[in-house]
Amino acid sequence: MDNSLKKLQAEREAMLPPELEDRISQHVGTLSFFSNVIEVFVPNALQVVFRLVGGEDLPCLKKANRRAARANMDWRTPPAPSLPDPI
Amino acid sequence: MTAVATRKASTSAPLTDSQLIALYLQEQDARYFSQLYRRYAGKVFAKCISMLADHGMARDATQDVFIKILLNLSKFTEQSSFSTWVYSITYNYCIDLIRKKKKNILIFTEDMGRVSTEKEVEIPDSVILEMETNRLEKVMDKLPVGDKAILDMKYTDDMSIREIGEVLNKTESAIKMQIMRAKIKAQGIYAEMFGTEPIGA
Repeated sequence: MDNSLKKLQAEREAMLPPELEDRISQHVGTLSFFSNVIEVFVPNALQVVFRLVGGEDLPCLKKANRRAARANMDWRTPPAPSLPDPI
Repeated sequence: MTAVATRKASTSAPLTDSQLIALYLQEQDARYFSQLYRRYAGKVFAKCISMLADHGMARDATQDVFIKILLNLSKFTEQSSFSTWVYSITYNYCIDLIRKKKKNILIFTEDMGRVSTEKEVEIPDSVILEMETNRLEKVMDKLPVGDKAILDMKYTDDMSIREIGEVLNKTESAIKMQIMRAKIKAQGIYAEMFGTEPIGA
């Protein structure tokens, strides 16, 4: 059987305002949106600034750009036939 | 275990707190956090009402506690259970809020001065656990906020002395002593308010 403190807690739990979940969901959505924005745009924005001041590419973006270049290759185009061996 | 494997492994059984946290951190899908919210929101809200004694403040505090949980979810190390971690955040948030409102607030009964040690061993749990809820609510409102929290952790959340010690950053013997003092204080308040000893005393 529940003790008096548990009964009191159950009474208070029932008073939880239902609109609170929506408010918190909105916060969760906003935070996820901003974290995605930061993840996607901040490295490239920094890259632009570095280039403008005459710096080199960021190492992490160098790798990412190389990966992107490889991923953009058209896989439908067959590779060029290799030249016959001159010997 | 990857997020996909975790999800596949538990299609029938409800996901544990740890699984929900792992899935949320990997996929950033708000549905996983909503499940955690539904599990703990009522308890957090009840604790906030108990400590702050104000419905509006408790609602805002519950929202702030969950935002804190969300922002610090990646720091949860599973050294303690998720519920202990949530209660710890709730307790500390409410204490900070109360301290901001009143500078010289007394958190525990022991802060009020020496309490007789003779009587300490004689107070049974039934003093609190069998009190009528409407009377108990009034008695709890008169207790220092730390005493309320410690009694809640012990008798409502069934936390062990070690877990309570982790939350309050105190030794186990200090926690045992504070539980006893909180019970003595509650018994005294009851006698003062209603003119009789509580049932089980």
